[in-house]
Amino acid sequence: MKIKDGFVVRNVGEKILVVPVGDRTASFNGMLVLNDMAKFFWDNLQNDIEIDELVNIVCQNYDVSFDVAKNDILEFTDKLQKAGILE
Amino acid sequence: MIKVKFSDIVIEIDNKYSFIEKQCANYLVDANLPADFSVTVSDKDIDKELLDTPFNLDRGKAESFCAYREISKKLPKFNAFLLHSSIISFNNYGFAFLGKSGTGKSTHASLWKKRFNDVVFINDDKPIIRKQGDFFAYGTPYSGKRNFNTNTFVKLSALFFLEQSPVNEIKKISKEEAIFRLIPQVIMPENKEDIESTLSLFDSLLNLPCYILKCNISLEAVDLAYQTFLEDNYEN
Repeated sequence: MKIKDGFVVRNVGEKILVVPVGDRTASFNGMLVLNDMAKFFWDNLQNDIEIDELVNIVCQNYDVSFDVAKNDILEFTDKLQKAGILE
Repeated sequence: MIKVKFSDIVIEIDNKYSFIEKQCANYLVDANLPADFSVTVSDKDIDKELLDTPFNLDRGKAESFCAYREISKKLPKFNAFLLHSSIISFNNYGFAFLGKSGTGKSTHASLWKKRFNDVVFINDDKPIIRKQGDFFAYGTPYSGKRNFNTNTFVKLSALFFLEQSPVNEIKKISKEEAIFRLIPQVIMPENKEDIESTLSLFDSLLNLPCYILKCNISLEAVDLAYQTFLEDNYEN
């Protein structure tokens, strides 16, 4: 799975905002805010990747168990899926 | 064809109807001035505007609103954007009142005028905010139901995000809290470059003092806002 093209990601203060390009009704609804962990997931989902592969990358970089990481990632990708951001 | 100047930008408008010339009467400039850009509104745009708008518009008014929208799309290149807000100038301070439609921005701004002398409405609905070093709020002829606007500008001093409340309370908020409340009040641009530069403007804008002002319709609400601002920003 991977994140669709067409998003601008930018810091505003300490928050990381994600704004869709070209969807004018999304000036409110389409904005996402990422924390550091979510940003890490986001960056790694820019290219097509399998869930387990992503889980491994997270575990290599953060002190977290496979199951906890997988759970968090699935929660995140679920949100992205519902927002129509994943392909 | 008319030429207007909004926020120091000269715009040529290729209009078919005369309404816009009346609406922009206080903002017209000499036809010989070179324009920074020009806009045209198509019949198709006007048709769509008439369909989308709940209240009665004629083609001339629709053309005028469409023109403002077309202008707003060019603003990112000038480090500017439209902000849905009511902005006043008082004592050389520029105060912006923000919130969803119906929250009471106009009502609150009017209370300032009641409370103090020399309060000027910059724009009661959709001023242009432009970064020229500091952030300035500019009057335009598009200012909502009451159409309070003045062809002038003020340096922005603080942003107040309003909420209706029986009791007046004020709280300073961080940039991170403010961004959520700011973005719904701006029409984001359509392309990547303009979105990036607009977000960059927000990042900078929100360095200004930002407050949540829970308020009723009273002069005390005005005093609370003003005193808090002064104490926060001018304490030694």
